[in-house]
Amino acid sequence: VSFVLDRRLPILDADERQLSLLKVLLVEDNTVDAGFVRGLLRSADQNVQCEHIHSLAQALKLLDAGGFQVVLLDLNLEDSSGYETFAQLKARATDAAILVLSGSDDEELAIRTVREGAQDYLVKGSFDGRLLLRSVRYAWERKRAEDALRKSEATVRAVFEGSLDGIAIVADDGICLESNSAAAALFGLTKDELHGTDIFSFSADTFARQWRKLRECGSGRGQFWIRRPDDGARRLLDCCFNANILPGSHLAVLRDITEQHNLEEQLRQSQKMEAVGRLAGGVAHDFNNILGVISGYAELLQLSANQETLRSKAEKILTATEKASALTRQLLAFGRRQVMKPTLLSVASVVAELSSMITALVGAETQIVVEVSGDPGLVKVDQSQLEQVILNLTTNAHEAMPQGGQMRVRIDRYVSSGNGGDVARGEYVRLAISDTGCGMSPEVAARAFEPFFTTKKTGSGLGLSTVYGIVKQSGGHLIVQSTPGEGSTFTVYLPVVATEAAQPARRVLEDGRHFEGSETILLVDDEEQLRGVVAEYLEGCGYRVIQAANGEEAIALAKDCRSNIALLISDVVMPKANGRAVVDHIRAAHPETAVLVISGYANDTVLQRGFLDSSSFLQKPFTLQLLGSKIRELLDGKAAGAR
Amino acid sequence: LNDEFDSTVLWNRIGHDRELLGELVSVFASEGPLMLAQIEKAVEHCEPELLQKASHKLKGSLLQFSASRAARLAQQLELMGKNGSIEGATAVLNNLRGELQSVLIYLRNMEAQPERF
Repeated sequence: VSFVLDRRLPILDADERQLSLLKVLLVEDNTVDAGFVRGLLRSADQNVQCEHIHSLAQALKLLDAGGFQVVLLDLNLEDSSGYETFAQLKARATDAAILVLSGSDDEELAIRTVREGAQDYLVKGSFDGRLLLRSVRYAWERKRAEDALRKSEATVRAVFEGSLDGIAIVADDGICLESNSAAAALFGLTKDELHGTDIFSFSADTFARQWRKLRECGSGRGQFWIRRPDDGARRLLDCCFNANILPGSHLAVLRDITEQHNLEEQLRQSQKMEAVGRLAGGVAHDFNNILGVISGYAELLQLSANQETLRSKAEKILTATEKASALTRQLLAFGRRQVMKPTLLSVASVVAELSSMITALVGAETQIVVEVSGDPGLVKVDQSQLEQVILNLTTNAHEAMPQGGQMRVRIDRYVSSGNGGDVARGEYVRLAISDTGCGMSPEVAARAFEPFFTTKKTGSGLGLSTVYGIVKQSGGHLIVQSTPGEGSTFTVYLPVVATEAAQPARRVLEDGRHFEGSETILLVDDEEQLRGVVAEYLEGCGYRVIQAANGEEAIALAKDCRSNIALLISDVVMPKANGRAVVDHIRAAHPETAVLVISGYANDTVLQRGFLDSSSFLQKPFTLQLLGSKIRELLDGKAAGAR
Repeated sequence: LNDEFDSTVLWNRIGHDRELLGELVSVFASEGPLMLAQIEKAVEHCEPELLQKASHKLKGSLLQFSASRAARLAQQLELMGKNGSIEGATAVLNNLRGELQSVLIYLRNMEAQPERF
């Protein structure tokens, strides 16, 4: 056979001859050869139109005008010869397939043109009409298919490179064969560095195991942690996987979900704390009522007992209920249901006030360093709550260093851009309390603020949860950083509200007065026992007490009462009409009546503006002495106001 | 197979199209001598480049007609031109001239009585 065809072509059937019209440009300076080609084409297929020209210059001109699908090109023309003829034509014939016509002795050149983009070549004198036609048709079909493939490749390449997700092609053994820039960035490398690298080297064994499993499944999705070699950061990657997109080549689409994972963790933690807080608040409320009854009767017993031994036993009951009530206060603080009396405070001044107490608490083996940088500004928080935060954190730091060490208390101003995620945008007074103690593992640190979670033998598990509750209630943030064996730092961020320094308020202690009176008091509480003990005490003090078991009954009794009701003492959460309804009714119907609200907790729904202020609120459990004092304060204040 | 001219191959190549054969013979009858004249000119004026080009052209046409022997002679001249040496070209040219005449006679006969081929 004197000709070579680089691809096997099937014989055309009748249907193929009915193909669409093809326009062929024949570039040939030999009139005899051109006659052969044109004649063969014409007799083979009427749907092929052939235009013959003699020179390359003419060919380029016609190709610029467009419209030809195939160019049949003789390489040796009047105005050009050899490979140069093909090169010039190829540059211009972007939309047409080129079929080279060669002599028997220049096949080598013809093969080169095929390598450079010609669809095929035909040796003169070796083809008949059928072969010529088939070559022309297939040249055009191949050209179209190649163009479509090129477009498709360009699209895929653009998607591959432009994707925000990392895309990597990985071999069986985990070696990265190809990747886009996003994938390289996920691993902290350049594309060149990533290619040829074993991607399992970035991760623990789990990744390799998951990888094998995914390969067995053919496709799937998994998550795995990697450690980036550049900065050592641990990142969580979400991987969508397709095995054998080509034999031995696997596609991995990767997305860094570390931030999302961290936020979800935070949300889960925060939801858990919220739920535990609600539970703790609820339990504390019910428990307070019970404690109220116990302490009330103990007080009555103490007041009425003639024997010293009885009084002493009652005193012990009262001491125990005080301790129990301190616990419920901490639970309420965690549940953010403590009644706050926020005032402008300097955190540094409060720390200074407490310094002697902290020093006594920690002992000589622990060195305390207090650092205040510049003017940290003022915060608006409840002083006793802030004191509790400081004491709980310093106690915690001290207990983390049983052999002694250094406790550092730093106070400064901190401006958060909000980008870090942990502290919302704004200006804060930052209070950081660090110790050089045993530190915590990440698992322990994650649970540090949970109520009743403790690693200490004698701990209540309420110290840090109380701190958490108070800080959150005060609009602040609390962050813990800890390294096992090195120590921990608890950092409290409280919003700055002013810069002028204010002095912490001095506590006013009650003196031991007797609280007798003869006024009429309307007492509303659905807790029968608590109502009973309070009524008994008040009647003992000389008051006339009208008792109601719920709001509705209280309103009805107030309407029927002929004498002047000097004071309403009302619980908040009650069946039928609640405390709010009773207070509103009394204030409207008897504006002269003083109001004292008592509650096991005070959450947002009851602490509404205008409903009550701190002067007319008493948190359960309270001592009867405190109640007596509060009543006189309110009634005497009213009387003074009336005068 | 005929060494100088394979009419069966040619006849098959053109799909037994008598009309096409007529057209092609007519073109070759006028163009062939012109191509030969170019070769003669190249030999006479000792122009190897022209000799190569003109011989190549004629060779291509002879191959189209399956005139192998004539094509080989044209190829010899083409090589001489390519190598820049036209020594002995005149003898080859004389042979080629005779072969071309024979081919044209053959083709005319074939055109006139295709059934004999």
